[in-house]
Amino acid sequence: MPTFLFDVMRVLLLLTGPAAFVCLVNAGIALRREGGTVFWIGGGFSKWMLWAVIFLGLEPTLTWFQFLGIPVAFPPGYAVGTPWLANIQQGIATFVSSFIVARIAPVVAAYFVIRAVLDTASGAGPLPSVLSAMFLLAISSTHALIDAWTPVGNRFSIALGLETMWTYLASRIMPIAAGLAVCGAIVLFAFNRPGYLRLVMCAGGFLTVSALWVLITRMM
Amino acid sequence: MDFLTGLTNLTSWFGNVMLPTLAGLFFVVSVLRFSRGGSHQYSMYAGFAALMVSGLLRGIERFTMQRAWNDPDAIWITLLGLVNWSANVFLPLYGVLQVVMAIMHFGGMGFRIYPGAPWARHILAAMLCFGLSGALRLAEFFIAQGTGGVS
Repeated sequence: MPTFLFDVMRVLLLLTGPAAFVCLVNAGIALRREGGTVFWIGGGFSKWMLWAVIFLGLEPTLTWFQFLGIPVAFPPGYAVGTPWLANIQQGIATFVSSFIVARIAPVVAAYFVIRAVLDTASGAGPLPSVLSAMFLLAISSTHALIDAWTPVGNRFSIALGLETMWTYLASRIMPIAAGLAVCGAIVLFAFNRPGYLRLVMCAGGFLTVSALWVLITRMM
Repeated sequence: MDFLTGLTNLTSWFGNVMLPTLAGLFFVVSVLRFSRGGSHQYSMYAGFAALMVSGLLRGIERFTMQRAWNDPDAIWITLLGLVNWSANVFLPLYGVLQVVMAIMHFGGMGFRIYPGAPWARHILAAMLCFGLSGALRLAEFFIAQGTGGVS
């Protein structure tokens, strides 16, 4: 195979990381649009998160072709031999890391913090905007987490990434969300608003979501 | 910066810093409503709940952690624990409170010294206004004494 084609493949594969960053920024914005504390199935947040996982697990997934007997010519090494292609790849990666991740994402998060205050002023809760701001501020570590969840050399990499993301959500995020639900229940109760019992039950549900999953699988 | 740390700190800040501070405000609102003859119980109980938000969460965790995370019976056992606690721990304590109320009503509280009467209500509201800090400290004392559970 010509070296140029190898270089094009290297550039495209090296750009999957920056593409995942862009997906995560879009996911953070979509999260606020869809509610902040919830997201739509098939909506923007789930779509962009899926794409982030696909981009980070793309290279290992290509080994499916080898598994099916179709020869795949992976480019040897990571260095891009063609200088102008290397410059394009470097330029896009620098643009994403220095401009979008380091500058634009924190600015959008800061706007969400203002939106949280405005939400409170308009009678809605500030939590959706605060959570979205936190998500945007944390996209670097989220990117690193998803990257670690999509192992190199495993053709099930995307599925493994989604599985590990579910486990992380159920075992790490949900127990903390239970504490937040108890706080919300107390505030609702203080102002004699309906819904505090629902939040208390939600706290119990957040703490038992793994058991609920096992229960449903046993019922099948 | 990662999302889990942010969420943990947000929950900890709200539950351990803001809500205990707001407890005082809930008691103030309760006293003001009481002085005007309004419904004051919600704010008062919310003040207590705000002081023991960590305990409430630990309680819910205790209900849910009675079985392993991958035990499908965990849902049922959680609900069973809640029902069991409500019936065998909460209701007997509430029953003691009802006995106390019955004795107070038998002693005249309710018609001879009716707490809803304006003069009694305003006297009691004035006492609470002057001694709200003490009442708050008393609530904190009760909650601190209750960390070991009912014995």
